[in-house]
Amino acid sequence: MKTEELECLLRNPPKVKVPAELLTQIRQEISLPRPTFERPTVSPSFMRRWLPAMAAAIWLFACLVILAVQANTIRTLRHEWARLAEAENTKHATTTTLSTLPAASPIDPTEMEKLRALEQQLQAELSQLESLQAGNRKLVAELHARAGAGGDSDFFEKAAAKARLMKCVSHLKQFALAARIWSNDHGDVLPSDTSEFRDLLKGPELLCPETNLPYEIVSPGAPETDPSVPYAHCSKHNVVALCDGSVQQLGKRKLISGPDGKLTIER
Amino acid sequence: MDRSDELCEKAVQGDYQAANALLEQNYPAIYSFFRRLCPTEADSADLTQKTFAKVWTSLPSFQGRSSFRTWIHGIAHHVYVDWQRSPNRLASQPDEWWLSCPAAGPNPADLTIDRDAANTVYAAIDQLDDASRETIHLHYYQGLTLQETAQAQGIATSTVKYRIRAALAELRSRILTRNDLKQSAKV
Repeated sequence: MKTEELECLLRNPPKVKVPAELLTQIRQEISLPRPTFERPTVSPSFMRRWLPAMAAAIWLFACLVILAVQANTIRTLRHEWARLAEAENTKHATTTTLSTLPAASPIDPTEMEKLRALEQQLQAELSQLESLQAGNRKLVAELHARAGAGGDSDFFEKAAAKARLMKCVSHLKQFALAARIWSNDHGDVLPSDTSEFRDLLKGPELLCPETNLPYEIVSPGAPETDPSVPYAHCSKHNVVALCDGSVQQLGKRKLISGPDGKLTIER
Repeated sequence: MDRSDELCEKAVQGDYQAANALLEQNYPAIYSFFRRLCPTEADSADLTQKTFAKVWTSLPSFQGRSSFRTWIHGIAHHVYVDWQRSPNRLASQPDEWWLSCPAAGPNPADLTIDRDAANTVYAAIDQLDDASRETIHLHYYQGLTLQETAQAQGIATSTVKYRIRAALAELRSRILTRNDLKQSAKV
């Protein structure tokens, strides 16, 4: 049998009796899928579309903020810790230094009291000095006012003359005192010349500060027991030193000779 | 667009008349396909019912990449393969069944091949292996082209050609052997 004949035979197979009942049965069993209705596509709102992404982004941002705050807190705590550690180290070093120093000597309470009293005194003097300075400024101002009025030169001359007088009184007193000291070693008799007790005096006490002339010994060799006898005299200022060492300003009075020949002060 | 495709689209939309038309159009071929392969009418009817049940459920997935005829034969092929794998299936068609079937076309005697030779060919086809036998059925009995047969079976067209060529060679050898035996018996 040739291949063509065989294929021709195969293309014309015997017919099969198709049962009609089966067709009816299958027709009854037709179950078509339900038609699908396409739902209208409604575009979701902006918030509904982006809400998941926004939520994730917000969550991520919150995490970043929390991390930043924590990092900042940690950095602050580290700085604080470093500062405290440095302070602790400084304190430790100071303590070590103090411990190595020798023990301070105890302060005497009495010395402290003295120092406090001295401090109070100094403060009082300071306040007095301030008051004096204030008075001085007041006087200077008054002086200037008076000088502006016209009698300034007379005032200053008087003051200067008074100062020279007081200085002369002081010299004369030193002069009389030195003579009395000399008389103790020489039979209670005052010296008759300044050369005898020169070594007991400095140079200026022998002279009047205004005239630079030596004082006049008016009663040489007078006993020191008679206090009313004048011993030395400054003719310029009319001041007299008595034998007891005191000094008197005679003013307009004069030295006069008494009936017994002794000099006395005019009354 | 093929009429079957239009009916398929309507059936997908739930048109019962279109589905009925598809059934009436393809039911004889599918039943014949199963009846020639299966030993009993009950198995053929059962497989035909299963095939159309799958057709209705799979109808929305039909995308028209092949003809509807090819697609439904592909489903029938898978149903038949599943049935073949079932353990309780019987053997293939006995020779008596082929003798009872009316021959189509011209009389075999007119084609210089007697009826006995035709039955011998059909019986020899049943002796082929399952794959080659199904290929012969789809290509010759069901009238599918080589490409449609390949699509229905899910194999390459070259494989279909190879199987057909091997099956025809096998058939020729068997027919020749049987004729030789008959002639020797007559002598």
